Amino acid sequence: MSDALAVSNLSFYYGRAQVLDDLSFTVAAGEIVTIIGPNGAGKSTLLNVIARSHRLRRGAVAVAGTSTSRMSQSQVVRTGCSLVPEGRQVFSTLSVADNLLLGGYTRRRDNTTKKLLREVYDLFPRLEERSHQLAGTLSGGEQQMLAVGRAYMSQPKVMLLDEPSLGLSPQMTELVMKVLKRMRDENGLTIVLVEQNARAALALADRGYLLNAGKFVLEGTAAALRGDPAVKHIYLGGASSTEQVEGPLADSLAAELAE
Amino acid sequence: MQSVLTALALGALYGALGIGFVIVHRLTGMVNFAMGDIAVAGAFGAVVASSVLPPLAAIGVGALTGAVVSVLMYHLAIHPLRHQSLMVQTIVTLGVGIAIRSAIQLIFGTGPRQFEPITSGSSLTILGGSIPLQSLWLVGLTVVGYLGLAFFFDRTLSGKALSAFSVNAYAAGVVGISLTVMATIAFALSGAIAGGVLAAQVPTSFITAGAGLALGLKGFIAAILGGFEKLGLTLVGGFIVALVEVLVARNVSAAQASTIVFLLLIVLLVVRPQGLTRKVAADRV
Ligand SMILES: Nc1ncnc2c1ncn2[C@@H]1O[C@H](COP(=O)(O)OP(=O)(O)OP(=O)(O)O)[C@@H](O)[C@H]1O
Ligand SMILES: [Mg+2]
Repeated sequence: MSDALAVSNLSFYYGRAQVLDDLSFTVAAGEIVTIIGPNGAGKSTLLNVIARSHRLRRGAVAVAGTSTSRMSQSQVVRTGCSLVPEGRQVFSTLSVADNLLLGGYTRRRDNTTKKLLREVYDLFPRLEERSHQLAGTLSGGEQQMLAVGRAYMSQPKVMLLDEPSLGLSPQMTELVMKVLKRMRDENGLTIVLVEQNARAALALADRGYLLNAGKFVLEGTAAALRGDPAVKHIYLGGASSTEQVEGPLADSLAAELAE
Repeated sequence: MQSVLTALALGALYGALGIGFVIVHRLTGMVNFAMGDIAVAGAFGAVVASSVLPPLAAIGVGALTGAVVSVLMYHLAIHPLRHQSLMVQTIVTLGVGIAIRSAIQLIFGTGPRQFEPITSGSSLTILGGSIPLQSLWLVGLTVVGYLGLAFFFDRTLSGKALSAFSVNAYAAGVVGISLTVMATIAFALSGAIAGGVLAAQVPTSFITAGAGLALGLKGFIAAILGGFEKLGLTLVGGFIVALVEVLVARNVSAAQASTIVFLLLIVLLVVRPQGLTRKVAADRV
């Protein structure tokens, strides 16, 4: 079986500044993988290159066995890879319903719009109540639901989410995470979840990567990462902060990330 | 009353050109100063077609010609510069305008051209003023064009996709809307309405190859009055420009009517850059 998402040897530069350094990873179909890392690590850049909001100059990306390396952004969406961008980026002066319809823009000839809209409204009943409201007047949490729903409308095989919990209350974060889980469990959706909220992300994910300065510095199952002293120390904080951080990797990592 | 009726037809023309400006600007953020010349190309397309087709069909050909010239302009001159600044793109449209004008002069010469009106018979008299039947066609065509566009933008997915692009270009890309496709549609629509409506005016006066620049600038003022945003207000703006022009021509001097309209443009840009809208759109123009 081919992987739902395969990224190989991907590098990215803004001008001359290298932001991503030879990244390779794969995500199996139906898997939830999280990418955590400090501000400026390159997480958003990575998702934007995969979704082709940024050009792919070095490396290769394949979605469900199909190479998307040469594709335009709209072709990538049609192939089944959709981005839920950082900061939601809804169409603020259009209605909730129009935002969702536009999410299905690449599937406009498939006659599946009604069915998909129904599914989104079942996942997020709040959006149905507000379907005629302008997206810009929704609360932050509702806008995040809309951004997820909009991506869902393109019937993705792989959904890339960039910090969906940003600015959300713990309850709202939990709600969004539950819906992500439901989409995976019921539809077999593959999910790549970039998060600052490592606790929520590792609770949901099967596996995770720790990205720092454009490189993966740690990877493993979610359980292993939850137990990793460095991750505990820096990302999970709280109760674990009193625990001792051990090991050379953990030490250097902690020092590097703490600065 | 006569002034109002005359201004109605002229205003519909300026309004249609203004709408052409607005559609392209809303999507791309640039001002297409070749708009007037594209419309003239459409009018000449209609003149050529009128020798074999009835007037109404010839006007259809005019709209089509405007659309084709506009789309060609996008793909040949603007698309290759899509990574350049809006200023560069806007300046290039001035150059394209000159190129279109020269090409028309080369083919058709500088003399005036005309063709037969759609409906024979002279004029309709309303409240003491008279309006040529052909001008009613022109006004009707503009209104139909406007309603069609309003329907397109508000009710169809492609129209919404165009609006989405002007609301948030990044997000439009994220959902898979292609800028190239949308720009092609926008340039086609803007060329079609401008070319078609100008073609409808040809039977009442005549058309010359050099008419584009002045026409374009008047459409530009109409677009400013519409805040470079609202199609309906742009039509109203076109009527205001035409009314000023007609009143000045009648009461002051016909020779100076255009000069005064352009003075109005300068005053307008300084005093009320947001046009008839409430929002300040100065930074977008
Ligand atoms: N458009 C840009 N031009 C130049 N540099 C950029 C641009 N966008 C991002 N960068 C830089 O690239 C690096 C990675 O940015 P990116 O947004 O991918 O980080 P991130 O991991 O998503 O951070 P955060 O957690 O804060 O969202 C940062 O140093 C940032 O300053
Ligand atoms: Mg980010």
